[in-house]
Amino acid sequence: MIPPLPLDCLICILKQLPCSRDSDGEESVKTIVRCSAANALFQEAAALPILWQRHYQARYLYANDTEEVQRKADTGGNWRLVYFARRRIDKQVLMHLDAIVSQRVGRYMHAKSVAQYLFDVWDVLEIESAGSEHLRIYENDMVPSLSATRVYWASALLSSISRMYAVEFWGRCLRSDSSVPDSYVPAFSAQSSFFGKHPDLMHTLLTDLNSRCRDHLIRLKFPLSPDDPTYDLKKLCVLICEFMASEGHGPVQPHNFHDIHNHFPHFYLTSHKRSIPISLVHIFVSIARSLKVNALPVNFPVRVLVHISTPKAEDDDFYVDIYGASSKVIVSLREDIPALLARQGIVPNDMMRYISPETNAGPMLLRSVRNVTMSPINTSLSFFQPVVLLAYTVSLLMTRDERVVLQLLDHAEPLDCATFISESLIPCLEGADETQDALSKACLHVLDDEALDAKVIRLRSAENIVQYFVGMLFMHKRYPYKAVIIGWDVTTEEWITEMRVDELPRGRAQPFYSVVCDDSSRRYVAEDNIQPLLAPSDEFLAEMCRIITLPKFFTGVLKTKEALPLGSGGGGTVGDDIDASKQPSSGAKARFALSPELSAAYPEDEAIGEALLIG
Amino acid sequence: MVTLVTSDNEKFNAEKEVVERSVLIKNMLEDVGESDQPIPLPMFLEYCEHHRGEPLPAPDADTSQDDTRKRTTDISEWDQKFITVDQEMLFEIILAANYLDIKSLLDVGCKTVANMIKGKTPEEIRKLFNIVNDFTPRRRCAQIKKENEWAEDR
Repeated sequence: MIPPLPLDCLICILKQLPCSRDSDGEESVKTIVRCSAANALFQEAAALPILWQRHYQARYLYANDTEEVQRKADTGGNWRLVYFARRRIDKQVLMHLDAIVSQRVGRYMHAKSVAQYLFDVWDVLEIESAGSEHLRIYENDMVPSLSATRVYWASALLSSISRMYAVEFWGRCLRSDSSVPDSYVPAFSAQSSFFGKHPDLMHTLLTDLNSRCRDHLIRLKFPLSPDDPTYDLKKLCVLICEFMASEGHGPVQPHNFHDIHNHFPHFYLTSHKRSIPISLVHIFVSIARSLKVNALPVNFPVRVLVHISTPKAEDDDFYVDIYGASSKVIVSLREDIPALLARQGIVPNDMMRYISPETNAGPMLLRSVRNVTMSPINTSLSFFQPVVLLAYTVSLLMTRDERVVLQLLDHAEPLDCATFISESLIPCLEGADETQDALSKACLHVLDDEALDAKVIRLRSAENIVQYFVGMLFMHKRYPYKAVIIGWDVTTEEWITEMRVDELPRGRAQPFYSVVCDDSSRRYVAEDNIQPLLAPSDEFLAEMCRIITLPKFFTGVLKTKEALPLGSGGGGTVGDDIDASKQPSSGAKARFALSPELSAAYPEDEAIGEALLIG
Repeated sequence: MVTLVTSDNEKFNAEKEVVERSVLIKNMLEDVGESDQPIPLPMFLEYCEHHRGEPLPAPDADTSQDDTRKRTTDISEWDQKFITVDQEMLFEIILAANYLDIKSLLDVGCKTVANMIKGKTPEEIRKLFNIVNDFTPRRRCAQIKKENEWAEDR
């Protein structure tokens, strides 16, 4: 006879279920919920708020402050009810995410709905994006899961949300009635939000550094209160620079000066600590201000300096050169500054505009993105798109110049238009009516085009013979690259002229393919230029699988088990031009499996690819 | 030395230091003092002997971070073997550990049961615990269903 267990034992059992963000934690909460449906005593045990507090704190790290306060007020602080409220939001988001992954029609309406929740949905999206972001290789008879495609979209939504935060925050800092005191440090950090980083990440990295510096100074018994008679502000600034150097935050080696990583806080606070002046100034100001030093950046020619305003009126303000700290840290207002400016050909009368501290992050952000746009950026860089979006967004916010609109939209995806551009950037341009209007129109245009494109279904016909299929790998006949086909079409007049298509054997009377190259760039290729690559090497497949944009188009790679004997490949209606003898001899055949969006747009291509693989 | 007597009148001698793992017995001993009065108990000596010398949990351990971390770690091999008993005995051990207030043993027992209920339906849970569905019909059920909507599998 099994003895009945009292309430406290049931509670103890439920408390033993592990709390975590992963599938174990998920199984735990579902078990608690199912227990609550067993009987009244179990229900009482499962209703215990403390039980849910642990699960809440394991799953939810972020929220919108206002909404979180409201939720706690609405539920009387009952952790179970707060947890349930968050899960209901998560469920909505997961339904939107399913729709976003499964079809292109209506996708960006769903994306907009998700992004509007802001940080209330950060956790659920982070959980969804925790899987592998790279495509996997499957055996030919398997059905690839949607997981990499889902991770792609969940990550893209996270970036949209953090970009919305960044633009909205910059907008508030820039308004003349600015209600954000001390905004320079967080506003400069917000650049990393364009790369999908949560603002708390930069904040934590900086505050950790701040407190380590404070501890270091306390160990040195350095007086930190300005009221202390031995307080020495200049010495303090020197010590901060020494501390930064001891942490690895020093000037970058000259040959790495133009490395794009030097510009972004999530890199220069972690993996690229040796950096450029403007980045070192950001760190210095963060530390100095945490020690109650009135430090602000100065938009000085050649390199950014820090202005230190002294507490006593009789003392001159001075400047700190963090980049040049190894030779001369303290730069004096009366002697060094005029000399430095004179070297740049600036006369004393013009001095003021170069030496005034910037209370606002705007000029520093603008200087930073101008540096970025002048750096040689490799377009195949995995974070090329965030970099250019950031640069043009900041330029547009600061200059409000209508010409930047087109530059921005050249690089914006429909997702960007549906989220941070329409929700945050356009409202921030209030007052610059023409620019705002131009951006609204251009943004709508992108979304309208996308809505039309999303509905197009491409089928082959007697007049429309398309030899290759979406998901096929190939080598370019004229240029030295390999790529995978992500679409095909009849093409535009302009491109035909530019690419000398008329010189090709079939001229313009042939299909054209959209492709993603092995360097992750997008191109457009005429059929005549395609040399199919049906049996790629494993190394090449692995390399293609690492391209971060591919999960948008494909769900995985399908590969046949055994290599077919030489000469038996190709064949079939599609493969007339495919000569198996040109394939590497080892090769099992492989192709990319279409994502739901491409399956819908190219309903025949999956079957054609499948037939070719079985050959 | 303390003498422990089971409900069926069997007697055991044990060192005070060992049996004090039970908060109940510790308190009892403090109440009765150093007398020869035997203390009644269900079986638990083997467990306490094995864990002799390990620190006793702090009274407020329930809310501490350490406790949470310990709770999610695995059951030790010896404890696992000790607790590998039929379900009836397992529940008896939990009841005894709860009654005697031996936190570590209660946790081990409950963790074992927690692993058993993972993934089970309400009906399977009822079977496991030998309990019946005692909800007053309709309204209550509807309310639970509504509250738990988020947990339904998509």
